Amino acid sequence: MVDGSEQFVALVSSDNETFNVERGVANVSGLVANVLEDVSEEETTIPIPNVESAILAKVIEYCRYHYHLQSNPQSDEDIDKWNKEFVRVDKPTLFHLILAANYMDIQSLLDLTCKSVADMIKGKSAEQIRGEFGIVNDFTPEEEEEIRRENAWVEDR
Amino acid sequence: MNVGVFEHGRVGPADEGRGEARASSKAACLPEMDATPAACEAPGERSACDGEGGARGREPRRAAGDGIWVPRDAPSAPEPHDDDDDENMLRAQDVQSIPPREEHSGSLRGAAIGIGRLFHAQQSQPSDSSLQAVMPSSPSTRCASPGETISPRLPANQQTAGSATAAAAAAGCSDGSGPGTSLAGGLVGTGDHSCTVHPAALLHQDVRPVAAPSALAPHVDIMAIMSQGHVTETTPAHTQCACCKARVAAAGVSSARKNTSKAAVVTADTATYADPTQPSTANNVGSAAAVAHPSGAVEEASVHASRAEHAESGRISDSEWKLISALRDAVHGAMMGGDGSRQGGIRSDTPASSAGAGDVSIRERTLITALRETVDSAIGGRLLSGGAPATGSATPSGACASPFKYKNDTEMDAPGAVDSNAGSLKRKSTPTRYSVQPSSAAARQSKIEGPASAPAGAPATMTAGRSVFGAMGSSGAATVTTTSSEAEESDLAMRSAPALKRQRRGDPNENHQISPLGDENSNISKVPAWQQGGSAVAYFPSALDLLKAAFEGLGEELAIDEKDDTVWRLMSQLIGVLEYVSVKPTLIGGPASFLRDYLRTLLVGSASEGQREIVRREIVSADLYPQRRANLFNALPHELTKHILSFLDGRNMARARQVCQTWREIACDEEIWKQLCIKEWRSLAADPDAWPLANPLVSHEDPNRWRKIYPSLVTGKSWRCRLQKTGRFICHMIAHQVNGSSLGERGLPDTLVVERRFNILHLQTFVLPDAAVLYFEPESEADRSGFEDFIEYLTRRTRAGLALDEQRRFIFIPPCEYSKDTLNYRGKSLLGVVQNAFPPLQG
Repeated sequence: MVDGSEQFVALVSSDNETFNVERGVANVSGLVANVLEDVSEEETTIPIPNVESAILAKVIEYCRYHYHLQSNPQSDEDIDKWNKEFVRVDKPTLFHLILAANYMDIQSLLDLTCKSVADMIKGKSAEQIRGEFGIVNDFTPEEEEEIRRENAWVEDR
Repeated sequence: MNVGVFEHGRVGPADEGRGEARASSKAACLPEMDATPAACEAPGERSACDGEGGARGREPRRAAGDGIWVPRDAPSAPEPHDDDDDENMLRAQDVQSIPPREEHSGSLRGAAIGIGRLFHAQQSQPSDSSLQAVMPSSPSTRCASPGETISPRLPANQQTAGSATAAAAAAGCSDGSGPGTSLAGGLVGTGDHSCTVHPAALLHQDVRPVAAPSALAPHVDIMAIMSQGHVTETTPAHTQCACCKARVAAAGVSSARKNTSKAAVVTADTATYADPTQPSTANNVGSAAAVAHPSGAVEEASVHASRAEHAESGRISDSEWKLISALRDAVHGAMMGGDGSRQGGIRSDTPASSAGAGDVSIRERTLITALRETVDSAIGGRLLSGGAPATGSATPSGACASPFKYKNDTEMDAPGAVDSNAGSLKRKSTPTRYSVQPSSAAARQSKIEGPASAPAGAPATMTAGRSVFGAMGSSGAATVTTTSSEAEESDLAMRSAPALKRQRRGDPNENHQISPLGDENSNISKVPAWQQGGSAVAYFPSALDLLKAAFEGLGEELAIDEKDDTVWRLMSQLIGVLEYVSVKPTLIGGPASFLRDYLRTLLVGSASEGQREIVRREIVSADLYPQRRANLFNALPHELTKHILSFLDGRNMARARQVCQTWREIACDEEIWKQLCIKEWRSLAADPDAWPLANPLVSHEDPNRWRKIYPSLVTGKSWRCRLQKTGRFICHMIAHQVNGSSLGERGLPDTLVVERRFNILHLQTFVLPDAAVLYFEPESEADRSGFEDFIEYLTRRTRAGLALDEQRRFIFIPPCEYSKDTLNYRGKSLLGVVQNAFPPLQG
């Protein structure tokens, strides 16, 4: 239910910033929903100790949009568009969102963000991937050769 | 051409020139070198240098010793000097401001030497950009007026030319030619360049005029001159100057061999000079510096000289070797901390230098260490030949330094710029800028070196500069144009000057042996273990061998092309950078941005031309040191990384395995691969008997069977089709081809209608040997019942189904003896065969 009388929940980020969120929005998070189930109605402050305020704000934005989709359905194209826009953030933010989605148990957000990262990986060579994410090549030449051999089929089409 | 007669002049700033000369010589170091007379003269040069050295605090001593060759014919007009230090400057006689064009005409004074070098350079590397610079056709080449600073870009060509010239000239003349020469062309070759290069304005003036002419002057002329015997005349005059002699000799040789057109020869000549030069350089530069010079000179020479030749020459002279070791030591020392500089062979006499050396930040140290480790490890792997380098043999470094140039105009900040104030190192807010220009590697050298060589004031730094550049140049690094104000340059020069003194002490005689190590005065720390035993030495020759091998089949001129995407090239560049940084207290003490930028340039330059832009984009967008940047995935638990990877398709997943150990582990997860496989072939999970059909080489028992079979699934052909039985829809199926000839573009029709049936006993005769064999599976669970009913129907009646499509026959084979014995399938699914117009239709 989205109406004026809806209760609010206070979500507190790791840096002690408080976000007052409609209960329904907060419930998009499995973590919050679980907590709310167990606490009394009066208990409206929930710490989210693993998530910084900047990230939590994004997460709440996501929850709010998807919560309101329930009452204001939109076309899949529009939702896709919104989602794409939502994950158009810098990589560190994206990774923080993944962690937050995982921690707060928001599967759709987790999938969205992970897929977004996967899209960054797609079509790139190993070297490009390393460059993209700051990954160090820790293979020995022998190992690299072995994998390259095993992957010979990858470039065959 | 006026070039006919050369006079010897003295130029204060020449120091740099010498340094280059050495470098060039080093590069050139061929076996032949030994033979060259120039080597013998070296001592003489030195002494001369020493005598003069004292003259000015700032000015390099070398000037004294060096003479500039001036064409006698050329009018001796006093040069306009901005500087107070006329003494240091080229003498008016020596240097004349010549109109650019005229210069071309051959009124070369000091240029003569430069020309000689150019000559060499050209001959050796006609294709090089450096050559281009040399080309008379390029007007820009003629040096700018003395006062001008070389513009970064323009100079490129000029610089290159200059460098080439310088290389040639470098050998000998410290003064006129020397300056130009030394800086790689900067000084001598291209007037402008030299100006830029030389921090000191003084040098500029002198140098330019000389350089320009030389650069412009056609080699032929020079050659002609040389051959005529002018050279000979000149030589006597300059007897004192070993360098000069060397040059002359070299020039003579080059000219003589000109016809031969063998770059190698030229190179050899150059090398020869180098030796003589070295001594002089040694005098000027601190021990470390001394070492550096030769190498730099060699490198230049090598660069200019045909690369092929270098490769062929393949030997490193002792002096070069020593130089290199000294540089390494210097790095080592720098890493040691406060006194490191000394140990490294860098003189910390100057306050500035000591200060710089003193504060090696952890960062720098790490960086240097990493670089050194890279080099060391590279060397370690190359200990093939244990033999020490031949004394007169060509320098490996030279070999390493491929003449290639960078095409990109990467600009590098030299954070290390220090204020000239009384030896106190100050970091200038405005760093000296070196713009790396692709083609003019030589130019860069010259420029960089220029500052260093500049006057006496500077400590070891100068040396470092030279050596580095030399190395870089040799490696084919881009040319660095100094954009910084002249003032800054001069400052640098000043600082560097002090270092020069040390070198004097070095043996005058040791043409090949001038190493900081050898210098008694230099406090050189013990040679690192890795350096001992000649292992390092061994490395270079082997490198040369490799290079040679690589060069085989290539035209002489091509030798190592800038396009070459080789480990060797990159490695030699890395060595160059290492050497350079190791001797530069200002760099060591400063931020790593210089190195980062330079390495970035190296990386980009190391790619083949076609890929360079791509590599550049990657490198520019990515950090050069990814390990220093947070690996974003480090923050994720493996499950999340796995979740991310699970969104990849098989090919991308396979690529992910190549990224790093962690990813390899994650991306080897069989569950992931199973899912990927099932997307391609659903029933593989439930029908182990289908595995041999999919890929007989992958055992169903293999722990990595899913990953291993995946490739055959994606590379195999499959089609989706409707199965109908006389007009009645049965199910949707996926047909995987598991054997037989290709179905070609047509594949399978969308709908297969089973119109006829025949006894399975006829399969033996009906099925043709090359028929395509299919494995059918229901597309989804919804299709399963229809699919199985169809199989049941055929089995019950021991029939095979037959569908027709124009000239093709589609035979549906239920599990039976035939499928077991002939098609090797023991499962319960449906197989199919596709063949042309057989069996014949009956009634």
